[in-house]
Amino acid sequence: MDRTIWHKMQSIDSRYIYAALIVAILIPLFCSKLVYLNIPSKPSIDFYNTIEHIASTEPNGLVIVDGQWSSSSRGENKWQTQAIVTHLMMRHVHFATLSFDTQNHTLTNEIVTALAAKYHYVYGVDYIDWGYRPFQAFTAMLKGLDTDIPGTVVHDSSGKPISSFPIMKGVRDIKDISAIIEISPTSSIDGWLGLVQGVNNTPLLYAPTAISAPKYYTYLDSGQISGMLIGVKGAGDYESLIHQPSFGTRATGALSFVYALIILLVVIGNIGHLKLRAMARTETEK
Amino acid sequence: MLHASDNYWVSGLVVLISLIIVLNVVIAQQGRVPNIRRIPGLNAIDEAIGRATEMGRPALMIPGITGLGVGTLAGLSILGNIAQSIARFGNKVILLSCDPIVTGVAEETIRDAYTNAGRQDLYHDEDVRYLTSEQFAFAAGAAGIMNREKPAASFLFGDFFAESLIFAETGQQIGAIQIAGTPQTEQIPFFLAACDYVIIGEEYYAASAYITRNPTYLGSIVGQDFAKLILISIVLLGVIGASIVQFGHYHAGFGHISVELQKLLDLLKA
Amino acid sequence: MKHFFQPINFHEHPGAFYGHIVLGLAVMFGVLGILQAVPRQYRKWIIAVFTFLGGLFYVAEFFLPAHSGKNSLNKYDDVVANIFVVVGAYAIGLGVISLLQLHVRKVVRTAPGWGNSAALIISFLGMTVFGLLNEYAPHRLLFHGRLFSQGIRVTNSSVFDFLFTGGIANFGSAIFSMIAFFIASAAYRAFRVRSLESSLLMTAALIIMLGSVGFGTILTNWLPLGNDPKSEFWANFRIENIAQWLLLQVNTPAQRGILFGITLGELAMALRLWLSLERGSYFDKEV
Repeated sequence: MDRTIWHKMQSIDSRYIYAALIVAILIPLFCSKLVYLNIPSKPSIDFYNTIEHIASTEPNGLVIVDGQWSSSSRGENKWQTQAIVTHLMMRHVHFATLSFDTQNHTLTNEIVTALAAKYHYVYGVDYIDWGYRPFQAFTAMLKGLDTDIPGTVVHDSSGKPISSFPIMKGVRDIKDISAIIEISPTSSIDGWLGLVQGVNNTPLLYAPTAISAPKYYTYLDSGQISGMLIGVKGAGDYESLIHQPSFGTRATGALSFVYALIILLVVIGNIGHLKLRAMARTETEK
Repeated sequence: MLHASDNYWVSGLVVLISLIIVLNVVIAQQGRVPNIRRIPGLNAIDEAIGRATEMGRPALMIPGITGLGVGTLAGLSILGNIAQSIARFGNKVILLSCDPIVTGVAEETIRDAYTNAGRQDLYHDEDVRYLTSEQFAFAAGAAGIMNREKPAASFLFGDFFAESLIFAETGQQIGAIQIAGTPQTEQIPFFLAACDYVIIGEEYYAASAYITRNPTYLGSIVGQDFAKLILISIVLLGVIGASIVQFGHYHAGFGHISVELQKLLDLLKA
Repeated sequence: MKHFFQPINFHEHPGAFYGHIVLGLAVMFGVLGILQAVPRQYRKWIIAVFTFLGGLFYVAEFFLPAHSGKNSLNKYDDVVANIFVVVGAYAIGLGVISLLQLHVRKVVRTAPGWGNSAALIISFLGMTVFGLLNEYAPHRLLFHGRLFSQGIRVTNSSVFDFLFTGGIANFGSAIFSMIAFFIASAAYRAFRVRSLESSLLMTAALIIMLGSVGFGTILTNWLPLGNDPKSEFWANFRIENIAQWLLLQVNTPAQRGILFGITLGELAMALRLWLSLERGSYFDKEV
C-alpha cells in the first residue's frame, strides 16, 4: 500500500522529532531576551508563603535543607536549591544543610558558599552544614532528629561539634525546627513524612523532579506537605516570586516551547490516525 | 509516626490487618485455596515468550534498580516463574542487575528455573549480569545491551525510578514486546506509554500468586482484600462523619453531634 | 552494651580495633561452621529464626512502651544502621568481583566486544587508583609544566575531579537528559484517539501541559484571576486552575487508591518474609 501523507503524519521518524526537540530547547535558552508569561502554580506559591511566614514569625528559627540530588538531576534540583537558598538568605532565615547523597554534599555546598558571600551569611551563625551521611543511616538519622538533634548530628562537615556553633543554641529536637525542605529526585520524603513531620506537625516543603510530583499531591492535599516546587518549572516559579531570575526562568521558557512542540506532534499524529481510520471505514463500507 | 503510642488506633489497625493477612495465609496453606481473577498483563507473558522463541531472540529481564527489598523480591519471584516458562520453550534469558546482592539471588533464581524445567544445559552464568550500581550508568549499559542483543521480549518487574523510560523506550525502538510492573506509581505512566502491557499497583504483588497459584500467595491476596474492605469502611465512615461535621457547622441543631464526631475523626489522624 | 558496638578509633585504641575484627571474624566463621554442622533439615529453621529476630528489632522498637518517645531499643538504632552500612560494603566487594570476572574472561578470550570490556577494566582501575590517591595523597604533584603556553599543575586531586565531576557526573546528567527525547517520542506515539480511555488520557495530558507553561496560560489569560468574589467563578475556567483541579481532584484520589493497594501488598510481602512464609525457588531451595 502506498504511504500517503496520512501514514507519514502518524509515523514520523523519531530522529526528526529529536532534532525538533533540540531546536525547541535551545532557542529559549540562548535567546535570553524572549519574555514568557509565567504564572506560578499554587504549590509554588504555598512553598514561598511558608518561608515568608517563618521569616516574619520566627526570626531565629532553624530550617533543615536536606538535599538528595546528584548531578543526574541537577537540571531541575540545582536551580530549585539555588532559588530556595536565595530566598532563605534574602529573608535572613537560618538553615542547616544535610546530604544523604555522595555528590550532593559538594554540589549543595558550592551553591550555599557562593550565595553566602553575596548575602553576607556567616557560617555557624546564619547557616551550618551538618554534612554527609550514608543513605543506609537515613532512617536512624531521621528518628534521632525527632528527639535529640545534637546527639544525632554530633559534628558538622568539618568535624566540629555542632553544639559549639551559635546557630545551634537552643536547638534540641524537632520542636525547635521551623521547617524541613527536602530537595530530592527520589521518594526519600516518605521517610520525613512517616518519621518526622507528624511528631510536631513541622511544615514540610518538597522540591522534587517533575516525574515524582503527581504522587505527592496526596500529601499536599492532606496538608502533610505545605508546599511543592515541581521540577524546573517550580524553580522558575520561585525565581519569579523572589524576583531573582536565573536559569530556572529561562528553562521554564524552554519548557513552554517543548510542550508546544509535543502538543503539535500529538495533534499531527492524531490527524493522520483519524484520517486513516475514516478512510479504512469508507473502504469497508464499499 | 515514630512509635505505636503516637496513635493507638493506627497501631491497632496495623496489628489487625497483619493478623488478618497471616491468618488467611495459614488457612490457604491448610488446603482452602481461593481463586483470583485474570490479570490481562500476565496472560500476555506466554504470548511474549512464544514470540521470542519463534524469532530466535532472547528474552530480557530487569528486576528493578534497588537492593534486595520487598519490591525486588516480588519482582524476582515473578521473573523466576517467567524464566521457567522460557526454559520450557528452550529459549535464552538475559537478566541485568543493578545490585550485587540481587545478582546473587537472581543467579540462583534463574538457574533453578532452568533446572526445574529440565533445561539446565541452556543456563550460562553470563546470562545474569551485574552492570553497575549507578542508576544512569546502569540505564546506559542496559540500553546498549538491548540494542546489541535485540531481545524480542522484555520483562521489567521491580522498583524503577527515572531511568524506567530509557528501558521502555529502547525496548519499543527495537521492536520487543514489553511487559512491565512496578510498585513505583510515578513510573506507571512511562510504562503505559511505551510498554505493551503494564501491571499496575497491587496487581504487581498479586502477579506471583496469579502465575504460580501457590496457596501462600493466594491466601495473602485474600488477606489483603479483607484489609482493603476494612480501610474502605473507615474511609466511608470518615466521609459520612466529615460531612455531618460540615453540616453541623451550618445547622445549630447538629452542633453537638458534629463536635463529638470531629473528636472521633481527630483520633484517627496520625 | 551499646558501647561495645560503637565504632573504634584505630589510632586511639589499636588493640581494641584489631580485637573487634578478630572477634567479628571468629563469630562469622563460628556461625558458618555451626550452619554446616547442623543437619540439612534444621538449617532453614536457623535461618528463619535469625530472619525473625532481625525483623523483630524494628517491630519491638515500634511497639514496646516508650517514655518521652524513647524505649530501651531506641539507643541501638544507629548500631543497626551501621550493620546495614557494613553489609552494603560487603556487597560492593561482591559486585566488583563479579564484574571483573566476567570482563577479564572476555578480554582473555578476545570474545566479541572484548574492547568494551577492556575499556571497562581500565576505567575501573583508573577510578579506583585515583579515588584512593585523592583520599590519601590529594596534593601530590603528577605533572608540572607548560601546555599551549599555559602553566599546568596536575595533582591526584585534579585527576580525580576530572574523572568524577567531569566524567561520571556529566555522563549521568547526559543519560538523564535522554529521557526528554524519549518522553517526546513516547507521547507522540501514545496519545492517540483509539478508544474512550486513550482519548481521556490524551485530553488530561494536554490540559496539564497547557496549564503548566506560559504558552498555555496565555490562552485563558483573558479570564479574571479570581481575586474578588464576583470573578471567582470564572477564574475556575483558567487553564492552570483546570490543570490544578485535575491534579488535586482526579489524580490524587487515583494515586491514593493505588497507594492503598501497594502498601497492603508490601505489608503482606514483608510479613511473609519476616515470618518465613515466603515460597518460590529461592526460598524453597535446600540450604
